Amino acid sequence: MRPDDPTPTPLGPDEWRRLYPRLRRFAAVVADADMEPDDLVQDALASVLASPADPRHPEAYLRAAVVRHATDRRRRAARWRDRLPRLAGPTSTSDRYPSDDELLARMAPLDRAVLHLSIVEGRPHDEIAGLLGLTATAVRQRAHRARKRARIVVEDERTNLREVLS
Amino acid sequence: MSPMDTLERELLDARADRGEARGAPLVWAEAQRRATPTTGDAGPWAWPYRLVLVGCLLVTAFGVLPGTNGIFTTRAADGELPPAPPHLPLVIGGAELIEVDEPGWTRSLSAGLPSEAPRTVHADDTARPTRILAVPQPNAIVSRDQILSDLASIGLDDPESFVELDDRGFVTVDAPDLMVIAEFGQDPDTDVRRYTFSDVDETGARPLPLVAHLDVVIDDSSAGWRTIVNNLLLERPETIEYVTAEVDGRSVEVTLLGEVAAVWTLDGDTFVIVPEPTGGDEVALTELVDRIEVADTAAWLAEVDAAEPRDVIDVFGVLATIVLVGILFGSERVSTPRQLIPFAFVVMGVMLSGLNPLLIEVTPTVGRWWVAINLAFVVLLIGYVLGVRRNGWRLEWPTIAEREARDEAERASSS
Repeated sequence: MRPDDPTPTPLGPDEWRRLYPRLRRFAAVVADADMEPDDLVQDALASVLASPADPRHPEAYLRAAVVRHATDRRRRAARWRDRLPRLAGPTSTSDRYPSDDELLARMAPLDRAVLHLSIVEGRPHDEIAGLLGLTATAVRQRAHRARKRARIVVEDERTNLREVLS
Repeated sequence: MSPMDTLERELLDARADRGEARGAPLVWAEAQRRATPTTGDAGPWAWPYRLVLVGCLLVTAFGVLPGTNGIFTTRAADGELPPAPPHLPLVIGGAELIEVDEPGWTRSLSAGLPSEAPRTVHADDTARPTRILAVPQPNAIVSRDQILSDLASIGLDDPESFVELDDRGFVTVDAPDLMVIAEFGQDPDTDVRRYTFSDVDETGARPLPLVAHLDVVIDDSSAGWRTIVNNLLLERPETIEYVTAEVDGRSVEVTLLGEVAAVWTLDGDTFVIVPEPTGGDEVALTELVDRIEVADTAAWLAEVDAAEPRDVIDVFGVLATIVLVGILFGSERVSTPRQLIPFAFVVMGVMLSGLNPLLIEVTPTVGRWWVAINLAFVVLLIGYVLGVRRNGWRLEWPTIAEREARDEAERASSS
């Protein structure tokens, strides 16, 4: 659903069941490796349910909330790591996945969100802008930079792989 | 889609599928529980939270209420004095009840006033309640039974019940030796307003002042004493409560109780009680203090001065009580431990407030710093209240993301 769709959609259990798989995948991309995607989704949903007014477009609201919660958690984790370097230990509390490489770990949650929406979900930039509360220009710039960074990392990995094989 | 995009897509896809999903129903139920913890189902932390608050309220109340003599007393109750200098030679003996047959005065309950007792009694001009006074007499002890017997002899039924009328916190009904001051209303037979007494310890020293709120005039025509008392009252009625002095060749002990003063001779044979400043000969306070026999008067007066910041503590205590009561009524919304964190400093502030008087008693300097810390907590409290207000009177501190999301929702709804 596009965020500029004028028809408000109430968020009930049925609508939630429809949105959940997409949101969960989205949260898994946006979240750092040590964050549970479901936690982010749940926090976002709680924000919606506790808000004084029903958002006109729950999906857009939830996606924006997921990104903000991820950003907030990341910021807090960084603060703790700075303050308690000895106690912090390994930053990840969950298993690392084979695909969970340095590329995604280095990106900000918002960049990952832009990449996911543009590459995986194939949404145009103006729609992503509506979903994430950004301007279309900002989305274009973020997507461009994120792709550029991704390609550098991927190329590096390929080079390293070739060197190892040779 | 370029080959590079395909690679990125695989990467993102793999990441998107990571972990095991909890499922839509579970996430929905948990989010709903967190969002609405109050509707008929207080959160699991609500009761511990309430208990903590009730404890805080009790501590604060002990600190705020006047007349509480526990550890957390914040200020002396009216009529309660700092401890007397230890070397005071005053020996309180027994009590005699004075008979005054003039209208408006008390009747005597026992015959035989001591020879040195006040001979002249001036009737009060105002229609003040009459009183029966226990007059200290050297080397005599009046027992509780004697007092009760005296009270019974004037026709008071169940005199023992009057013991309960004491409101100054040192009721010791079972103590064998007591000093007594009974205060009656217009009709001494029926209208008992106050019945105050104090222990007499083993050494005969009087641990607490005997006179409180007496506004009658019993004078042995020693005008100089009244002047002194008047000057004391005029100069520093709020700080000097209890001094001894050499006046006109006689040792006296002056007790100031608000607008009332009691002057006792140290040999215990005569006393004068003055209701309020009435002018007269000027005797400077400094001159009087110069003649004070108390060895360490300056230290004692400093101790009294140090008690002044208690007023500040009272203000803090009242403020803390109001805030805590308000929070208590809002405790329905507490559902997670995180929501309790903001109250930690409130609790700490209240506890500090409670400890203040104790510290001031022990070390006035530390006590004053403690008061400063309390004032800082007042600022924090105000900030906290403002924060709660900004948060729509919700008790938890929202994260930045939550606040932004909420603001966005409000913007969307208003547009």
